Amino acid sequence: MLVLKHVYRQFGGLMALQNIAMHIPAGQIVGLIGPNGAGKTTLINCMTGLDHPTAGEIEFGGTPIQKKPAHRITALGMARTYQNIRLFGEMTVLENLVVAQHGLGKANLIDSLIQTPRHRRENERLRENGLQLLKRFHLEQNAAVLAGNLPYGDQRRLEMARALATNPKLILLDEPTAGMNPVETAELGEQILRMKAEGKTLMVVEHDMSLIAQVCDEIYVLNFGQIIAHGTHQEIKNNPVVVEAYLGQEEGE
Amino acid sequence: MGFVSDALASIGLNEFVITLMFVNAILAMSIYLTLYGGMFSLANAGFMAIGSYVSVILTQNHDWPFLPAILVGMVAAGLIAIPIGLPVLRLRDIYLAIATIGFVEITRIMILNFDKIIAEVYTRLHMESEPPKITNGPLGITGIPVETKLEYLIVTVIILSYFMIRMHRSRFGRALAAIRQDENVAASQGINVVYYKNAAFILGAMMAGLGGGFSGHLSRIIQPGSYGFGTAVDILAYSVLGGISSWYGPILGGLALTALPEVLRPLKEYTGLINGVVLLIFIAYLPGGLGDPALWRSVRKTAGRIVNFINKGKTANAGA
Amino acid sequence: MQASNLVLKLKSVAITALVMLGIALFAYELPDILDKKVLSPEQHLTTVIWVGSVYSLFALGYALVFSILGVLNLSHSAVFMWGGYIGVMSVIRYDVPIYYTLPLAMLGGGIIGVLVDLIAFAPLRRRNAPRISQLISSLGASAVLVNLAQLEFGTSPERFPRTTLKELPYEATVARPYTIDWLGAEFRITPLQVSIVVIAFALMLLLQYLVARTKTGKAMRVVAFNQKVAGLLSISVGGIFRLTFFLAGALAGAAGVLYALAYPSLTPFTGDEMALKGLTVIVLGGLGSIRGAVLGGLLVAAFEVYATAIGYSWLKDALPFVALFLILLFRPQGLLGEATVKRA
Ligand SMILES: Nc1ncnc2c1ncn2[C@@H]1O[C@H](COP(=O)(O)OP(=O)(O)OP(=O)(O)O)[C@@H](O)[C@H]1O
Ligand SMILES: [Mg+2]
Repeated sequence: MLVLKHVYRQFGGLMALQNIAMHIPAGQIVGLIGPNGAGKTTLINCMTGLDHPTAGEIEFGGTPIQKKPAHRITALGMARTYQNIRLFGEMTVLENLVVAQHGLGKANLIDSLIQTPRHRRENERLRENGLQLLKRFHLEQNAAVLAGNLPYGDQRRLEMARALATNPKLILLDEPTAGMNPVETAELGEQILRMKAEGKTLMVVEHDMSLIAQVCDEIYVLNFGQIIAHGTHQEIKNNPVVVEAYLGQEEGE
Repeated sequence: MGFVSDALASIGLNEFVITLMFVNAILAMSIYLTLYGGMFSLANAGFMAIGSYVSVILTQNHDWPFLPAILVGMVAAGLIAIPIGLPVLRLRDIYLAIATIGFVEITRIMILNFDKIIAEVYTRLHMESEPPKITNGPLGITGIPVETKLEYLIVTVIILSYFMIRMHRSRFGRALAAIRQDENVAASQGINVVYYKNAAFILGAMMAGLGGGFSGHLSRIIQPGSYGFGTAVDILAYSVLGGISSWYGPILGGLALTALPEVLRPLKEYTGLINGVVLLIFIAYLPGGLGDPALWRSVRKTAGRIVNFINKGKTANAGA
Repeated sequence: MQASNLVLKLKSVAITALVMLGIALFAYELPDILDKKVLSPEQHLTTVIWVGSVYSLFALGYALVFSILGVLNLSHSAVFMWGGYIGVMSVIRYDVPIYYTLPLAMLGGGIIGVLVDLIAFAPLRRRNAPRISQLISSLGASAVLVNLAQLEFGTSPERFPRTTLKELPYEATVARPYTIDWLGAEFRITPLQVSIVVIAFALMLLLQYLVARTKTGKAMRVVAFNQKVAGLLSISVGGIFRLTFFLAGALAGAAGVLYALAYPSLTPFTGDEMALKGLTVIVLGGLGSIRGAVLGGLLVAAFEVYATAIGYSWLKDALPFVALFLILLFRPQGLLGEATVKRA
């Protein structure tokens, strides 16, 4: 589904990504782990068009996307969440999900000015979809709350709902459990598996190894911008290079 | 009606001032649109100038009727907004503000020197004929018929208000709000940020062009000096002091800030000073502006309390 | 790390020098390039330098406030105008010796600057108001200052009395310029112009020293970088803000006096024109950069002087804005700016 070849990203003198080769097969859950500052978020940014690789190719369903703007990539069926939550804080929870479905709507300004049936039907449909998603993430009683006022765990779940709202094929989750308690984390694991069961492809960036072990089919390990290992959870766990990378980090801190 | 206009005139708000207030309300609405999309653009004074000069040249030199002329002025402003917006809207914040100030000043200077530039072109091309006088330099165009009527303006403000209300609840408006709150996230939710920013910029430019057309046919004379940096910041002040958390805030701001110096006129030489002080107080103590919904709720509450209090007093009196 | 820093520094110094040289050459050659007969282009070069140094000095305060607080202080030009009046009126009304006008105006400008902060900025900062509100607020402060000046001094132009100028050790009138022969060109410059340039550059160097070398300067830079961090390092953020406004006001005051010395036509509206000019100056050089402000001041002066000299006086007004527009589009950090600018 998503293929990366020789992807580089350089910030001034810093090589944030070096010669990345990756393959995310359709219908699977791929884990991406690595110490702080390894380049995981940078990689997601490059995949989603918020950032662009300095060199290299990224293909999504056969289309080269490394130069495409973010909204085009979203239209092709990719969605993401953010490590540091980035909801539209001044909008209500439901509005967050309605605006997220922008690409699924067609109504233009004139439609809304003269209140065409298209505008009305579409508004109905988007709200209905939004409410469905809220139910799925147990947020329906908060539909009218400003997203910025939600408790932390709910904000994380709303981010997932918002990613799903674009009706994506591939979802990239950047540390979805950061700041969650074990109960919430377990529930999130369920949600991730449910998405897979619905035929979605996922990539999960996580520090929580139990979640990675629970949901991922295969795992990539990133360190200092390079993929240092790739395999199943069992293979990764016993890989001395990976152990080294993590130990090195602990000594450093 | 006559009674109301007499009362208004007695506090300095004669018909001319009221007309001007509504023109400025339109200008304040024009900048609201870009602010709503998170764009700190001050370009609208330039688009106002374009709308104004284009429409006045049409009515004055080409005998066009008023309405088509100001519509053409509006479209001209919108057309010029396209090549300006595309490069400039990549900038953010203060950088966008300054770049658009640059545009405003360049526009003003171009209008100021338009005849000179034409003359220069004539001599360079060795043309025999006398170069035309079009904008007439710093003196501006004079003897313009006063065509702008209060009714037109009120109708325009109502139409624009309807536009704003609908815009807020439209796919277009939601996209702008998302862009304002987080441009990158908006993009990765599938919103074409460049498109929507430019669309809002162009629509705002057209509104400003329309406002310019009205203002051009208001006081018999237009001069390039009225469309510079100062005007750009004034328009911003209308909408910020009116409040940009609601669509009606800018209208209130445009009306109030235009009326304020007129109402203060009896203070003679202190008018300007008190005007400035009031601005400072407004901005310091009304964070959401005049149109802040929270402000009006609390005003209503206080008013309710006062009414209650008076009523109580009355019943108490009646009892006694 | 150290070595690469040094290289970076050398590089930026080299770029500065080259750009300045380029401007000087360009300014010198411009009339020829445009094939216009201009009387003594070298004469214009001296004008560029002394006018430019006033612009730079004025813009420096603008840049300082912007770099520390991230806001545009539109009342800076009004403080500048007040500085000019403090200088001129202290001579006219109180017979203050002309030597004292500069420190007086700097002190006065500094105090007005702090007052502006207190009235127009501090209340908004306290509630975290958006920058756009702060811009409007500074505009209100500017209106108040201009109106106060109008009430106090009227609107007819004021100037330093001719007799007081004669108190200077040399006869500082335009009529008696020095003539310097250099490389076959003849540069004429009056003692007054020389002193303007010397004072302006001395103040600019002083500020550069203060910001780059002293402890206070370091604190200012920390505050500019991150106010939270500054708080953790127990730097008084409010104090730094007040200091910044004081310094900016003092620079504006000094520029005001120098302006009043150079042009005998001070009115309450003198500042309005400078507001915009100053903005252009700091954008051209790089928002918030001290050396950038100096460079920008010279550039704007060059545009003005040469556009007028070649007979396109209308270009004089347009050129700086065209340059500003292009700079923002192609190099938003300015010619010398290093700050990263967010672009979509
Ligand atoms: N816009 C940028 N400019 C310069 N450097 C950047 C930028 N974005 C990221 N970096 C640097 O790139 C490196 C990788 O950062 P990134 O955020 O991708 O790491 P990460 O693996 O997501 O870490 P974490 O686990 O902390 O989220 C870091 O050294 C970071 O400082
Ligand atoms: Mg990260």
